[in-house]
Amino acid sequence: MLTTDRNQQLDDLLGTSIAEFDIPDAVYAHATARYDHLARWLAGYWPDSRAGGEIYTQGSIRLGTMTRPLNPRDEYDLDLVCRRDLLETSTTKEGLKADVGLGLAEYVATGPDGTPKRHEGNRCWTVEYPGEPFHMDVLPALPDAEAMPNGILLTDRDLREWQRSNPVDYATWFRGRMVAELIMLREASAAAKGMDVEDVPEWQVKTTLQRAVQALKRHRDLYFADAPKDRPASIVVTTLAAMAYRGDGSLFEVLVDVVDDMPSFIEQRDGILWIPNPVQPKENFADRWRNHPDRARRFFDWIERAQHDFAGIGEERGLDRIVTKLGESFGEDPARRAGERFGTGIKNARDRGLLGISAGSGMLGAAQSRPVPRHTFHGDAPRPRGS
Amino acid sequence: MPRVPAARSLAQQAFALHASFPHALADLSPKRLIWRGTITPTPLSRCYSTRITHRMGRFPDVRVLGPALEGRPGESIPHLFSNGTLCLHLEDEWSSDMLLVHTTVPWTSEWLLNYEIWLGTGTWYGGGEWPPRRQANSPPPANMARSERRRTNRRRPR
Repeated sequence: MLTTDRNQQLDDLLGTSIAEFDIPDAVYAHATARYDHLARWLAGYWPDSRAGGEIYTQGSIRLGTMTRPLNPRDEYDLDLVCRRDLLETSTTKEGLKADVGLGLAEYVATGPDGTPKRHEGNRCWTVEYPGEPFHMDVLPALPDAEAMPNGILLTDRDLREWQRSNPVDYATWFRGRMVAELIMLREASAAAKGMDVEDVPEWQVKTTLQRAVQALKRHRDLYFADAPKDRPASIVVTTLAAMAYRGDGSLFEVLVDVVDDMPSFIEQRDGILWIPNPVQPKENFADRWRNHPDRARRFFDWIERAQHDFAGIGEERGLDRIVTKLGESFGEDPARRAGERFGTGIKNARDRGLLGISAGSGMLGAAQSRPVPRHTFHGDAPRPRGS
Repeated sequence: MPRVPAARSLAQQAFALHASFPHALADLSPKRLIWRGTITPTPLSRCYSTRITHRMGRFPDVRVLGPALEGRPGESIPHLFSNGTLCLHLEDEWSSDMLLVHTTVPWTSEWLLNYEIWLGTGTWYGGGEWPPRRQANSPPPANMARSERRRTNRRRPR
């Protein structure tokens, strides 16, 4: 806050707005405790059943890009993969799904804390915890013999075909795109807290790339609020953003550069729009656009709007205009929160004798020699309305 | 007995302002100093043309010349006197031994920053007393403005 660097100040405002979309630490800790309990129980249960298996996280919870749902009543999705170590030839899609469902039913029947309930979805099982702001989507999977050790086979929506996937290697790829900053942030956080780096969990720090992905997801959620089915999938947004990210720059610069460059990473293969899965290039994350060309068109419309909105944040003069622009991109509440943090930060600095001004411009910043003295804004009584 | 600090002369005020703001204009006469300078409270803010008028034995008064200050729909600007000057401090927070460049100017910058945030969010985060403190048995609000103004603006600093 106490900086006279324009980009850094813009980053403070952006960072505060985007941090509003983080899953609260307490919810995260609670959800991961529930998930750990389930995973441990299944690890003990499976050896007694037909085959071993493993349950692990995938998607935004694994990538550190979880974004608070637009509607506060909506729950956080924790995406889990449940891999059963069965041969592809020894089971069917229906059989695999039923097998995972059975394990979850047995778990729920033991009456764990939170009294979870199991529900059946199209291709996954959902474990819900009544009264808690999250649920787990458990996707049944088999090991992919052609992509060991981390490749998996998933059932598709209609339980017709096996689909290849590799969320573990994908997460490693994503992490690799930001690893230098991740290490730096963990070291800085450990130093600030007087802890060892190993004791600072990765989820407690957020890189510029993770923040940019969260910003894009929130902008998307607002843009498609009236047509959520047309929304580009998070994997599409995340992959293109990570591909476009060059590895450095301020949050504002990254946001603007990434959203400008994202479309250039969409390939055309035999006339088909293709967003390759970076860890298995034969998989097209944009596969759904083949049957829904209108969604592709809407994706490009959205990107154009995001380019315009993000660039606009930096073109404004006046904190009020910037707060308004942040509101247009991310919603009014996070923007107001950014203004609040900024204003209270300056007031606290003044109260603590840390605020100074620059000669020539009168710009507020860290006190070099003479701090701004305490004072009390005062004034006339507010004028009656309309007078 | 403790020594009472000497009041700063208008020339001393003008000289100190010039040292920090060499491009600003100061108009000095025996009884008053008018300083016009541009203040940009943050690198993201507008550049505000401001005028400080200081008469010996009076509280300095500060006006924003441009860009024109705006209200929010249905709300007038907080911490502004009804004559349009900025309300930066309580009576006992400024005295004539203080330099404008160390008090009034940074307070103006802070006021402008809080004004911009207020304009964007509807909340004044700079602290202060708003609505202003009322004295016991104070007249009804319509007359309030005058009495408050007298209390903080027209009285003489120590």
